[in-house]
Amino acid sequence: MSDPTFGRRRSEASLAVLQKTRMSREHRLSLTLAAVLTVIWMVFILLVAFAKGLLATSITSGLTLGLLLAFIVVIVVWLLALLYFLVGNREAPATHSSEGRP
Amino acid sequence: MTGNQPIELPNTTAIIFFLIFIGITIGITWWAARRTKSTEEYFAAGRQLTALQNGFALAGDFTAAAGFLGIVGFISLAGFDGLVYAMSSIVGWPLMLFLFAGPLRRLGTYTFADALAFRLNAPYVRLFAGINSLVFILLFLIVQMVGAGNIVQLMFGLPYNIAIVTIGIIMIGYAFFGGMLAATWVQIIKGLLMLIAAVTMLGLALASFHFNPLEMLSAVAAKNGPAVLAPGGGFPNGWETISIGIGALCGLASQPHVLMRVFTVPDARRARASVFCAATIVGLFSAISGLLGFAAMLFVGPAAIKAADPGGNMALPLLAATLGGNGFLGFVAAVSFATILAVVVGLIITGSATLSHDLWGGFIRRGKVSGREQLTVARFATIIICVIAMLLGIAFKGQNLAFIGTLTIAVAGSANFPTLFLAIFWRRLTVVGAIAGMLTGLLSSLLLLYLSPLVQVAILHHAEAIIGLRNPGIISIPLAFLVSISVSLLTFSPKDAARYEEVSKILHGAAS
Repeated sequence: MSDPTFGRRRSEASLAVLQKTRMSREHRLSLTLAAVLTVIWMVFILLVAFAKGLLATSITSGLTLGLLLAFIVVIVVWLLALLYFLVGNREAPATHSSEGRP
Repeated sequence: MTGNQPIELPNTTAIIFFLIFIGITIGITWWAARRTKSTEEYFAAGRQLTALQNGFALAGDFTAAAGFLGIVGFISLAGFDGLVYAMSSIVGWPLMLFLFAGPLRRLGTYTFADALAFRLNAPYVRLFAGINSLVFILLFLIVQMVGAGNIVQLMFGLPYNIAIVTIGIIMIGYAFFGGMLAATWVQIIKGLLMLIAAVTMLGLALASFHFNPLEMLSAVAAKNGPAVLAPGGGFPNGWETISIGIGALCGLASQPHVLMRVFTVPDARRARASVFCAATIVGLFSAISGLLGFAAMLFVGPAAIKAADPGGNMALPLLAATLGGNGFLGFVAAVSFATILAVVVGLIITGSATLSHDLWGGFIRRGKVSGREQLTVARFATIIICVIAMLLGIAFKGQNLAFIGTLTIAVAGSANFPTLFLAIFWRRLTVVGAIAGMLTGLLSSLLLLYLSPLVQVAILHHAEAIIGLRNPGIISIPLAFLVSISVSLLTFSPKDAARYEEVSKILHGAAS
């Protein structure tokens, strides 16, 4: 690290690596969360479509299994969005705030 | 039957609230007009909105009349299945957040067609994306205009055609002078009013149940039978349920007027923040609407709701009258009308951006166009679209079109979602593949819609439809993916992958 040029090159190189991993990590996070959301939603929809009797099961007065699952799906999906928002926006540093095309 | 109170419309409170709303929004338009001198200001509110402002506007764009009146009405008649429909709109927002919000903001300038044309380095992609947008906007405008005409007729006792022309003139005023900035503030104000109306109504409904939703739901089950809290009341069969689920999931994230709002904030970071805000607001609002639907079932009763309007659109006004009297009904009616007005303004700005920026500036003039020329064309386009909207509103007078609102979303999902998704996440997408996918999605969903019982039996009065399926999503969305992927693989050249590498630097924010 004594040679400043070398040091700069190394930091440039590591920056490139960092950007590449960050880029693929962002990509992966998007696709993973989208897949989780789609699976949760499709399982719920399939239950609504073909397991009507099961979802009609009463849990307490005024609450069926279907209503409970609906509530859980909404909460879980919102938590996924919160997770993406927190992680995704932490990883995008302010230096990129002027990115995009004019 | 608890809801026997007759509703009084035209209603003085409604007219007063509505005039106050118009007064405030005209003031905003005047203020916005002085700050709207460039195309960036006209189409994207100068990109100076905060995430919270944009989140409210996004949520407002989504909760059109179908969202406010339709969901409550559907639940009040169908129970649990209506709730599933409301949920599908909640789930679409996080999907848009994960997949589109950041990348689109980085790639595009005003419309999603920008993003696609840039990603594929092919200006003529704009032509097809632009046609997709225009078809969607026209379909959606028909629904909104007919709804608005009916409400105004009801509220003010104006003849339908005069109501439509009045609405059209107000809209030209907002859109022509105020552009996106005025459209956004109209949405924000309307969104706040709508939340106030919904929360007040929920409070009134739950007051007799110790503010415990479960207590209200068990009263609903006791009165209307336990089946209303279980699936089976609204969707004709399981496949239809799945088709609605897929269509709403993909469609919500691909409506052109919603996607356009991504460009009104300064950067991708704030685009994501605003979609997250929208997801939260829509979630909250849909949850309240869900409970209001059951409240309408309990306090008004399905028979009285159906008697007022077979589609259930009067459930919310009837509930308001039952819970809060005619003064509150007036407030809710005014808010419902403001809702339609605000959504229509957003649609018109999107249509005007599509015509002037994508089709005129991008496709016909190949980008060799000054900002001044584009702005002139945009304002001219605004007037054309407003006039078309008025004519459509008059032409479709008296048709019960509420269902088309949900189907237009499936059309957007089929035409735009597969291509946008592949453009952002798949390096092998080619220009031909993208165009083939967009055309397949658009044409197959429209064809399925035309052949379905909704058009063949309900509108054309044929004895039976050629296809039994009402919702095209389950066929048209996978088909569009399939065509787009196969054509891309057949036409792939290394040049396409190189373009993706180039673009992905911007796409993922790695470019400095």
